[in-house]
Amino acid sequence: MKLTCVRVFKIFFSFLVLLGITARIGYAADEVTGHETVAKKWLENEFNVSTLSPEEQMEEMRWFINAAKPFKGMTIRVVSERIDTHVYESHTIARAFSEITGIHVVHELTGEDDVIKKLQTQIQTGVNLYDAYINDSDLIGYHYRSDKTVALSDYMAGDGAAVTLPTLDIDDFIGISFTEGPDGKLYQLPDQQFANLYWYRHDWFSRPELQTQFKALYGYALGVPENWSAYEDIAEFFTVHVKELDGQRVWGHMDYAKTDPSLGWRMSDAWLSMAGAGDKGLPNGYPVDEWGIRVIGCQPVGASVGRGGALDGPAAVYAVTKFVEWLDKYAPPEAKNLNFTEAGEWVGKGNIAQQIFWYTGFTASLTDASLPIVNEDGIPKWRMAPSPHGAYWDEGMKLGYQDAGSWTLLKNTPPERRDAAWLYAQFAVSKSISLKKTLVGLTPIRESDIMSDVMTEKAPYLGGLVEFYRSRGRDVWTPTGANVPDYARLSNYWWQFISRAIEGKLTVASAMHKMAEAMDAEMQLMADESNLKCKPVLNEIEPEDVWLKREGAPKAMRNESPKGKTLSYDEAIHVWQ
Amino acid sequence: MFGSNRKGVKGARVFTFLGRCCVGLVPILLLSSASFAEEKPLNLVTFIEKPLIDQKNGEPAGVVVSVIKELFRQANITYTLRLMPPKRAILMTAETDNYCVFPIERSQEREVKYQWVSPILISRHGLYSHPNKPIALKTLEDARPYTLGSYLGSGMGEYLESFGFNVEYAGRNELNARKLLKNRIDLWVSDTESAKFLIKQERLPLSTPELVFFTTVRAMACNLTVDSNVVKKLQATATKMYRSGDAERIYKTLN
Repeated sequence: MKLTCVRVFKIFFSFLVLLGITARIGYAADEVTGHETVAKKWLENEFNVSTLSPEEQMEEMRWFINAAKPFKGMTIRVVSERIDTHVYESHTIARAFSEITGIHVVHELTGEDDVIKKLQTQIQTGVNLYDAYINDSDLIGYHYRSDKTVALSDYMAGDGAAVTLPTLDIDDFIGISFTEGPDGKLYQLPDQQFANLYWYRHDWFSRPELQTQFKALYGYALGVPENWSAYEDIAEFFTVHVKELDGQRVWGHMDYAKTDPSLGWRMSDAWLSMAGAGDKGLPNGYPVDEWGIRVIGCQPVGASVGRGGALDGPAAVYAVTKFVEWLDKYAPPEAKNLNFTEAGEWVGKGNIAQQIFWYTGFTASLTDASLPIVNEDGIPKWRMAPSPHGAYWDEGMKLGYQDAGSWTLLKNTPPERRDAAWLYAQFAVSKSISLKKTLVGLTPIRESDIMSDVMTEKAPYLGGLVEFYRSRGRDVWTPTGANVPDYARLSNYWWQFISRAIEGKLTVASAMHKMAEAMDAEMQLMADESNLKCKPVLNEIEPEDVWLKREGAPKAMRNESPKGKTLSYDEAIHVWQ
Repeated sequence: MFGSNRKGVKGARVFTFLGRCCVGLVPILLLSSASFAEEKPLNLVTFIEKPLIDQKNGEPAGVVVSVIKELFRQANITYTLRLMPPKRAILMTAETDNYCVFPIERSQEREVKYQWVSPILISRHGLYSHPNKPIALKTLEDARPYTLGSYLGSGMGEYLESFGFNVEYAGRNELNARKLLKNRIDLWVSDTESAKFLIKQERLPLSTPELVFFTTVRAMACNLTVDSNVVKKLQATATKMYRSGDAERIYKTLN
């Protein structure tokens, strides 16, 4: 065969191409192997507890490595509030994901209010501030109405199918009902959860001399209060009668009341639901929820009693009156000037007997063996238990709040960036990672984790957290629900008006009435200005008496001082079994 | 809902720097000519943050100032505008009737102290290392062993301090670039636009940030006594400007 120049060139070129392909395949294979080696290192050294076997974990890692290939080299940005769980994600999980997949993640931490403002800004301006948000599911009412948020159930089955982890196991998420809209679609994926529960000094409550003294004064046993009357009695008992224990001043109640957005959360999260202001129904009362907002179908029709709401009804006024009264009478004087974070750390000082509403998100920081509220063997001197309910609460109602910080994708994020961020989101909640994350932050999201042997072993050191999350209580302590059409626009009213009642600028009744009117006016504006689905259509105003005589919320005045009732700790934690 | 609290800036150090840096800056007053409404003009204060806010012919200038001027023109609200050091501008607005300051970070801690018009400016903040002493940063946590340089009133220093980082403050942003080059700090904390401008203008031997670690939404903060209807009108106009592309058109003139 005669070799022409052209043929020589063709053979040479083919050789080069072949060489190139081989090298590329070799390089790609090396690259994958390299990522797998890194993944193995992370699984062995950091994510070494999981409900999956090491082989199953490695399979998940291989899936992430392959799914991430198109996005390698990209930097994505996500944002969340700053609690232990998210700090762990920002420092450790983001680093692991970057090293394993080649997608660099900047996981920013900031205040929850700031997260909401940023999400609002991205929606309003169209500027892609972040590729994903960890946003509390309290905004579910806005997400499903606004058409600005990616419906994850549609995405996972459609555009996002190739980047959706086959072993994600949505049914394993304990808070999935909180992140579904009334249309049945999933809008957010839970990343961490914590509840607000009753917190008390189990060691003090167990002292025989205090039990005897309490029984003599109040006529029933010192124990976990089942209703607000008992909570109030116990608050008075420690603040007024006991006063000092082991040489230090002690208090029967703790709270916070600094004018700050976090003051509003105290109310909107749970205070009115514990009092019993809303209707029966889970996860939120229907047709009137714990914000006191009535809906017809999916449309909000009013917050004021005159429009069928309950925000300024007898139950709401009772709730806030008790808040102010207990703060004045039974809490340390500093409480009025503390915000949420400052108050959260206070019980660790060892001078608080009980707190009606304590976020389990603080569990990790209150199990530090160096604290005076933890025994030498690491077992806490305190316990958490179901919160007591107020005079307007009835069976079938929610009894408190649960925060479900959840992955949220916005429609105006460029698709490629959204897909890469979705990979990180799933990595952070994958079964390979979630149990370790739960042990660090104590904010469980998966049934498989909470039921694991690892959590059983850990339970005695967590003051009741595991017991609560293994009970039906986790479905009765719920986030803000879908009645609230736009959380970001309405939530500021809470701290703005409640602070005026605390400062004595308005009576509680007047503050609640003005707040209800302001919320109604804001909802009317939403109806006039926006294209929300299920947007508000306010009821005509009727005399309050007419509404108060009807069944359900708004509820007419009840006996607000029934006899106090307490339970033993064992009885209390089994109420929701 | 859960949240966080940021520790305050260390007071004594802040005010020492404030005292030093106020001396050289004489406030400049500009009275708007675009005044149609009858109300008392709003007193706006801002501070130099090149290239976003600068001084030209003795008057405040730059893209952020242009956005504000357009905002007030569209809202048909009268105003005066003057420059002063950032920390002083923020304090004056908190304490004085009828004052607004821009552009400052809207944070949970500041939320209750002002009325807000937001957003005015979206900024990304980065960490810059010395050219002869690069510091590889994968996450913000990697910066923990180092001394970070921020400036008074930026908000970023407070943010980093609240996480326990070692932060030193200068009176103005550009002073930190010089401190970095003199090895007096390990990492310079700056918003990326300002850093890019300063590096170019002052021909600094600095490169891209080691890590862009935080995003801020900056706003105009108004004293609580400012008529809330005026604030609402400004907010509605600002939102409209972003949706219509007016704000973006002005910001594009920067590059």
